[in-house]
Amino acid sequence: MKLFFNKFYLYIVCIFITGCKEHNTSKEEIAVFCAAGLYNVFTEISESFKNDRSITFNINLASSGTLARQIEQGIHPDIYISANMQWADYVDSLNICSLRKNLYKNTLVLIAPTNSTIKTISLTKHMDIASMFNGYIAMGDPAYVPAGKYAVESFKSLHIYNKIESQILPTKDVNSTLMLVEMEECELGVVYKSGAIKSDKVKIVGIFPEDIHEPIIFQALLLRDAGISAKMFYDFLTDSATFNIWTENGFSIIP
Amino acid sequence: MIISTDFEYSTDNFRLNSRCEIKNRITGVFGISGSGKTTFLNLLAGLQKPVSGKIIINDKTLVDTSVNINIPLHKRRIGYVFQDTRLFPHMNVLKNLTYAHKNPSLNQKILKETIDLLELGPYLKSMPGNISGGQAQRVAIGRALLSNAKILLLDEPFTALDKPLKKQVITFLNRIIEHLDIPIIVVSHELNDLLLLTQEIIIIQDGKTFQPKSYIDLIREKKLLELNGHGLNYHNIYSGEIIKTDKNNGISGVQIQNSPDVQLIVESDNIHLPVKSHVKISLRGADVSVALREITDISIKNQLGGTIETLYQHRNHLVCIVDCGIKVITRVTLDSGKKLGLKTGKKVWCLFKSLAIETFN
Amino acid sequence: MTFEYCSILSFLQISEAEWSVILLSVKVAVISTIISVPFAITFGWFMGRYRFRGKSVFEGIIHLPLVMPPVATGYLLLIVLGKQGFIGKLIFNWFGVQIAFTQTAAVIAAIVVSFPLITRSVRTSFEMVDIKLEAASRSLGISPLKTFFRISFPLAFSGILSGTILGFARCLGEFGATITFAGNISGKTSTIPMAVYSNMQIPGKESATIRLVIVSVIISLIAMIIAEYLNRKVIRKRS
Repeated sequence: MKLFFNKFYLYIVCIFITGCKEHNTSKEEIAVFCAAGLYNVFTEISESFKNDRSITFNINLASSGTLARQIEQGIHPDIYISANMQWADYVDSLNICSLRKNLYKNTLVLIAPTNSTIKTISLTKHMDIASMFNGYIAMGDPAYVPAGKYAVESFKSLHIYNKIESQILPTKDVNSTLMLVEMEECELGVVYKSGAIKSDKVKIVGIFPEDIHEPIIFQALLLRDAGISAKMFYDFLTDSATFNIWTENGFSIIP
Repeated sequence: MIISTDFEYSTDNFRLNSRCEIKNRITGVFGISGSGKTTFLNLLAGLQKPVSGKIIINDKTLVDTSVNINIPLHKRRIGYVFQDTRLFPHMNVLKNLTYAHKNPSLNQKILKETIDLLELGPYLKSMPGNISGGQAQRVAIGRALLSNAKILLLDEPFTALDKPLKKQVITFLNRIIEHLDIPIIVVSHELNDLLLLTQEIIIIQDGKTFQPKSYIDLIREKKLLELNGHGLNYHNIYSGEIIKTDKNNGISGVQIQNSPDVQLIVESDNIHLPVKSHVKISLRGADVSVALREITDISIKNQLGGTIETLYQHRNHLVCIVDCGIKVITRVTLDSGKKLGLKTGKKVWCLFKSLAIETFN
Repeated sequence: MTFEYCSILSFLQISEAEWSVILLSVKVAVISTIISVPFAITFGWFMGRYRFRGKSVFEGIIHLPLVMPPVATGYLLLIVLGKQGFIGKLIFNWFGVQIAFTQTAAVIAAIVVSFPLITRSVRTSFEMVDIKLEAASRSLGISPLKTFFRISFPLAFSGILSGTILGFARCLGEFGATITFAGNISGKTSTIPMAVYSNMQIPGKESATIRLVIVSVIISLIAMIIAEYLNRKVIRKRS
């Protein structure tokens, strides 16, 4: 029995070691931890990258924070793409990255269900936003979802935060925000332009001026152990060949 | 009329037709196991419903399928003492007894009487799991009595009990029969147990209930012969009163009820009853010898003279009822019958030892 | 030594905000359990005692939240009771009340996920009660309803109790359905699991997370201990 167990144990260990080895040496796979908001862009870019190469992508999509926590716990991808400066800084501070760069930036927009009576809302100082809707305004939880954080920041700088504070419905991520507006549970929502233009059930009714909140910059970090293919993909992310993919998905170039 | 039934009940593999009228206060229901005795009680109590027909108890129509009457179980006021007692395990004996009492303070007197009658005083605080089978049976009977029932149904009240406990329960039941004026139906597959409570018997056989008849009539009409060998083991059961006791010689004299001329001598060591106590005595038919004359130089103390009123052959022996002031049922072999020349109307003596008599109080 | 002691104490200090989260959690769980239990008892009783056509289908539907991902349960609730949902729409049109993303929604979500758990336990404990005892009670002239309260219920009590505690704990820990259907609105629907989840998302909030986890462990333990105590009391009474 004991002997059998020992054999079994060694067998498991062998599988584990060979599995890891494969991952480390033959760089046919690229492991990417990518902020959830970049799903569409990432798929298109990776398809275009794969074109003439035999490469598979191991992709983990989640919020920037969740991904950062996983990295902190010792699960190391080749590339980490963050939608948020703080989390990028945090991962950078772990001393496991070799390169870091800006990708593109996103725009924060105010959305409403397509059939809503609200036409446009121009976000200006001291505007009477409260009179424009009754229900909820959905946004990522400002405590930890970057989009929500930017939204609150913007409303504060427009001095209208206290007027709508009680109507804010915090969601766990931007996709939830979008879903709730699509379902007409919320009359308004704050999402990224990249997300809003993909949905035909919502319309953009307002655009947040860029000077009233921290810039929404996507950053890529290349981890130190990453192989050559990963490095090539890291470079490819800002290659001119991908420019159209970014812009068509609602992102804009950082001046 | 206490009960009148005219119904048909059937399931996939069982049928029971009943058309009978019960007039006696205490009636026994006898049949072999699986004949439908419990079903009969369940139908009376309302746990099961006949396919068609009527059940009337105490002049109240409980079931009449033709006009869609079916009084539910809890409105029938029938005290049903189940074979398995079914005491409520989360209540002590007292709570079980008073379970059906709507206003306990009003009925304190009856409660006390019942507790005394069934000698339950010492166990009132005990939980059902901690009392003996006989005690549990008594609690179940008490609980049914105190439910303000208008009729008591007892399902095999003795089967789960060993002999001393059985004797005890029979004693208590006879006390109830004596003290309370409530009609009782008792079911048993042991005819001899049943006879200690009543001589009025309904037979259930072949999916039918028969009209209640007296025990003696059932024997006369050869109704008991086919019932599971019980025909071979008739008991004689008599009620009586102790008129004298002779402690030195360990015997008592019993005056048989309604038969002023008949006195029996019984062995009194294991009854210890004072004079004037009411007793039931049981005597196996096979223990009765038949002689053509009284025999003096013999240890047999009970010798009754009488006339053979019924005599018939069953297998290789004779069933014989002798009228000696009391009816004595006896069995003799064919051979003995021939030697003695037994026939109806012949004068004979019935001999039985006092030790052959079992006494119940 | 004393310094360490102090730092542990201050680490364990529960903040005002955390207190309100804890109180809210307990409130939602208590309300949900109180609403759930009578229904679960009625339901468990019928399921344990009666047979009818389509029983297994019906049962399957009730038990669905037990096997479905809670987030999916929440989504279904949103579809049914949301402003555009077929029931939610009626309610919104008639009463002008929005159910989703309110405390009511948190309670509803908790009820939906805990109900099958309680029902299951209640049902099994009723099935364990001998029907013969119920028949005996009725034969003594006690109506079926009173029989239920005097015989079936007391005999099934320990099972019902443990089901209730289980349900309460489930309410307290409910996350998926709640965050989808009721959101994470602080002071309204932000319960311990929500707060733990959001704290985990924020760098430097580890201590708050640990405190809330400790508190939820303590609450669950207390509930279990109370249940065990009551249960023992019932059993002791019986023998």
